[in-house]
This record gives sequence, structure tokens and C-alpha cells, in this order.
Amino acid sequence: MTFDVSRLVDLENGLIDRRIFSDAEIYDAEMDRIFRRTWLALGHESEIAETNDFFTTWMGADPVIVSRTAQGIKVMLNMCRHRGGTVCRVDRGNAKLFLCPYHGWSYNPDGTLKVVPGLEADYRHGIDPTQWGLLEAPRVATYKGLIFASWNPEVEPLEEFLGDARFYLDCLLDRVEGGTELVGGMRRWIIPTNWKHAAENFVGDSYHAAATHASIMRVPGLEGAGGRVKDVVGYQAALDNGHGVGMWMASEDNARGGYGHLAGIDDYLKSIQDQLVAKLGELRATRLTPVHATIFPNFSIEFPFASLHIWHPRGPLKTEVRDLTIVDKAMPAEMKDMLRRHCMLRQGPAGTWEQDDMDNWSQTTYSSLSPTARGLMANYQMGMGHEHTRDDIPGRIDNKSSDINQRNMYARWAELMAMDPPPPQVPAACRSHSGEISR
Amino acid sequence: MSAPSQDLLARMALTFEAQQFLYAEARLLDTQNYKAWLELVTDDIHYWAPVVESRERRHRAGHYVAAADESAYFDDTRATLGMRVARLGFPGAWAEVPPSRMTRLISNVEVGEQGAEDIPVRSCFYLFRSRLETEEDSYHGVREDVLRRVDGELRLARRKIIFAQSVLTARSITTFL
Repeated sequence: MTFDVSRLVDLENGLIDRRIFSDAEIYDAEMDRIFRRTWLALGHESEIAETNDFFTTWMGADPVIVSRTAQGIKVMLNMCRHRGGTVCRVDRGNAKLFLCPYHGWSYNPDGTLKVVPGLEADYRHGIDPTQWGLLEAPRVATYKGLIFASWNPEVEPLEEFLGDARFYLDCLLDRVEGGTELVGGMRRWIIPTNWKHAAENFVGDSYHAAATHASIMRVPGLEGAGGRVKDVVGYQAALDNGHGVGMWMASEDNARGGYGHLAGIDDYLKSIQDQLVAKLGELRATRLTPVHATIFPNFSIEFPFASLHIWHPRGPLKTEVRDLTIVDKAMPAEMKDMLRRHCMLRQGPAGTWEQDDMDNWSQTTYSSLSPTARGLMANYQMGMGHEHTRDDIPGRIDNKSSDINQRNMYARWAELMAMDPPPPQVPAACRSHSGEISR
Repeated sequence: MSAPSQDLLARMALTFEAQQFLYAEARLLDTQNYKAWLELVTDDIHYWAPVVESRERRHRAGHYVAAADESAYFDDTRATLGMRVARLGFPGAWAEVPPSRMTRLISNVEVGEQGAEDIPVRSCFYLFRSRLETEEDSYHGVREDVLRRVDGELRLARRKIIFAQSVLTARSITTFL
């Protein structure tokens, strides 16, 4: 390894080396040390409601199948164990088997090997089919509908990994009986940016809104529905494991205040007020509105937009976004449709908000290719020395405009990057001699 | 050689008129004359670009186009198109600072059976967007339109844009298709 993590991220001084946004060796190390160690968000249970339903997605740079089996949700590397063919070439569906088109090996929905053509005649039983199933992620868990998986068998329980982020996530995921579901389909596109620029923007960058989204402020109807609109103060909360949340809090005098311009949402929230208080307590039901968050490394949430973003790294300079819309299952149909349109107009490649974000992240990524720029550290100093705690909300807290959450995210990044990658979870019969999953 | 039938001549005239409408529209969009473009759409327009997924062939020929209540890149009314156009006019719409240079190729124009007011028109599009020095994005697919004659002039009343890509390789869509 030719890089020294402690020199790349100098959090005591709020400085970060731009090299981490474009260096190929650092990217490869991230895929091994971060994306193969932590929990990764993959989607929502409502996407695979029936047995044998599946969808395909990514865990870091690994293509995976997420499958609903009689034994629960399985997550498997989308690669035939024989010669590496892709066993599932579509985005979603319902399948009784996954067939490799190359030599015809097939697998059950749970990943076990089903048929090897010529097992008797050609292999003459020289292989043990139980050793050659699809490679399964050893840990899969859900949190209130969201599906996570990890390649690391030693990873902490999911609830522990999410930690205090649950306090904020529950405002979206557990505010009403029946839980949540996704609007069908998702917006997907590729941004020419490093995945961390997207993750750090959502983790704590409220500061960018006034400049980046200047055009939005001029057009009535495109506002963000940033929370209760009257008499609010904003905060950032830096949480364990690199997560972070930004929020608005209304004063006690303005508890139960309205959301203003988001048509219909006030009536809906009023209609579920009792449930909100019962499930979330007075503070979260009436005064606190989380706005944006990143669950480290690559899962972000825009709460009032009801939008989930998963940033799949596709090389140091490329990120594939999956933009999902999440709604309460019990919401009236017209409210679901209002939120679906609300997200559509703001998020995604054509989103009136998001297109200007992406343009900036692309610039910040490409500037880090400049040899001279690489000698200049990027500034993450806002709010240093002002971190504090509060009795009513968890996390290390600062003003809404602060780099506290970004520093917290990069502290976790640096911590994981300095650790050895977790050992590969590969059956002994076919472990590569290098001891690492090739990349 | 027999003369073309009146039917064929009428269809040719209508096809020509639809093509000229689509070309003029493409010119307005290429030159980012969005306010003039908005004049070409009806007040009740539905401007829609549902997301696309790869599915097994048995699912709608392996090309799944999202339904009306599912995710979309655009699912706009005249009002929200107006908001998008107004926003692009402000200096802080950074993804268009400086403006893109765009070329739309509109082809394979087929005019369907004309109703009392509405004329279904299918066309293929290829949009090439160039910006800054070498920033490049391209978009291609099919459009299923409904044109309507309003006070003698053609107007766009419905547009369904079906991108060929399931994962758009374009960084953003800062214009209209």
C-alpha cells in the first residue's frame, strides 16, 4: 500500500487530501476494507414480497442477487461458481432457478447448486455440488423494511451498526402502523463523481443549499418542504459508525406547526398525530423533522422528499445512483401519489434540485485529478470546536451549517481504511492462492 | 401509373405536418428557447418519462416500462413544466452554466389513426449534449405523442418518453426530450 491513511485525513485540522476522490489504489482499498466489512443497504422488503421474488443490485463493486426464499432473504454474488458467468441478467422478477447461460449450471433461489450438466457422465462425480453454490453474503438483516447485507461474518448486529441513527430513521420508517413500502421502480443513472462526494453531501452539507440551489429559491412550487416551517432551528447530529443526520426543530411554542407548501401533508400528519405521538414520542411527533442523512458508507435519505438514495461505486470517478421513493403503506393513495410526484420533480437526473448537486460533485471529483490540486488539502473546518451534546436528541451536535458530520464520516472512513480487510468468505475448496477475492 | 389515392395524399400531408411540428419543436429545445416551446404544449399536457427495467422476455418482451403510479424521470403537468422552465432561466441553475450545446435528431415519424381531435405520433429521438470542453451525454429512445389541433395549429397534448437505457449513462437531464 503506497498511501498513508493518517496523512490523507487530518481531522484534527479539518483537512482532507483530494487524492481520496480519484485515486484508483485508494478506491480498490475502499472496496475491500469498507464495502466488504460494513453493512450495506440494498433495498426494501416490499420489492420482494413473494417467495422467489428477486432483484439484482450491488454491494460495493460486487453484483448481487437479493432473493426471497422460504428460509428468508438471501443475498448472493451474481456469478456462476463454475467460470463466472452472470446467472441473473435482469433487474427483477420471480424465478425458480438462476441459470448460467455459458455451460448451463443452475442454482435454486436460495443459491444452492441445482443442476450441473454432465455431473455424472463428464465430471464422473468428481466435484461436490454442496461446495459450489452461489457465494452467499454471510449476514443479511432488515431494519423496519430496509434490507441490509454484509460480506463480513463478524459484523456487529445491524441495530448496533445503525445505533442512534435509528432515533432519526424511525421518523420515516416507523411513524404509523403498517410500516413503509416503495413506490414501484426506481430512477437509476450514472454520475461522473466519486461516491464519497454524494455521501458527504447528504451526511451533513446544509451549507451548500443557498448557493447550489439558488435557482430553486426563485421558483414557487419547487421548495423542498424542509420541515415544519415556522420558528425552527437547524442542527446536525454526528453519530457512531460515520452516520450523520441534519434536522429542523420547531420551538415549543410552535409544536405541531405546519409544513406549509407541501400540499396535503399537513392534513395527513394531523390524521396520524395520535399514532405519531404513540410511536415516536412528543418531540419527534410534533417538533423534530430530520431532513437529510447518510448511513455510512453509501445509503442516504432525504426525509421530507421521502427519497432513498443508494450510491453504488462504479470506479473512482463513477457512481451509479438508485433513487427510491418510500411511503407509508397505510397512506391514502392520493398522498402516495403526491409524494411520488414531489420526489420526481426534485430528485433524479431530471430533478430540479439534484441536477445542480451532481454538476458540482462532478467538478469536485475531477479537480482532484489535478496534480497541483492534490497538494492542496480540502477544507472541512466549519464548526470545529463547537461540537456539543443535548439532552433531547442523540449524537454530537452542531449548527445546521457545519462540517461536523463530514468530519465524523471521514473519521470512520479513515478508521476502516487503516484496518486489514476482513478475510474472504470463500469455500475452502476454491479459495484463491492470494487469499483475496480477486478484483 | 395510377395517381395516389386521396387517402394517401391526406396521410402524407398529415405526416409532413407532424414532422415539421416535431422538427420545429426540436429546434426550440436545441436552442433552449423554452418559453417558446411551452407555447407548443396544451394546458392539459401530460409529459411523462417512466423508468425502464430489464425483465425476462415473458414480461412485456423483456423491456419493462413503469406504470402510471410508479417511478418516473418526468411526470409533469403544464404547471410543473413551467416551474422547470422558469428555474432554468435563473443564473443559479448551475448544471446549465455555461449552457449545453445540443443536437436532437428526430426520426422514424409514424402518424397513427387520427381521432376527432387527437393525432397519435410515434417518433425516435437521439439527443447529443455537449458542455464545457469534453463533457458529453447522449439520450435515445422512443416518444409516443398525442398532437392536437388547437385553433388550426398543432399542439403537444401527451408525450410518453421511453428511454432505451435502464440505467441512464447521462449525468443529468437539464432539458426536455
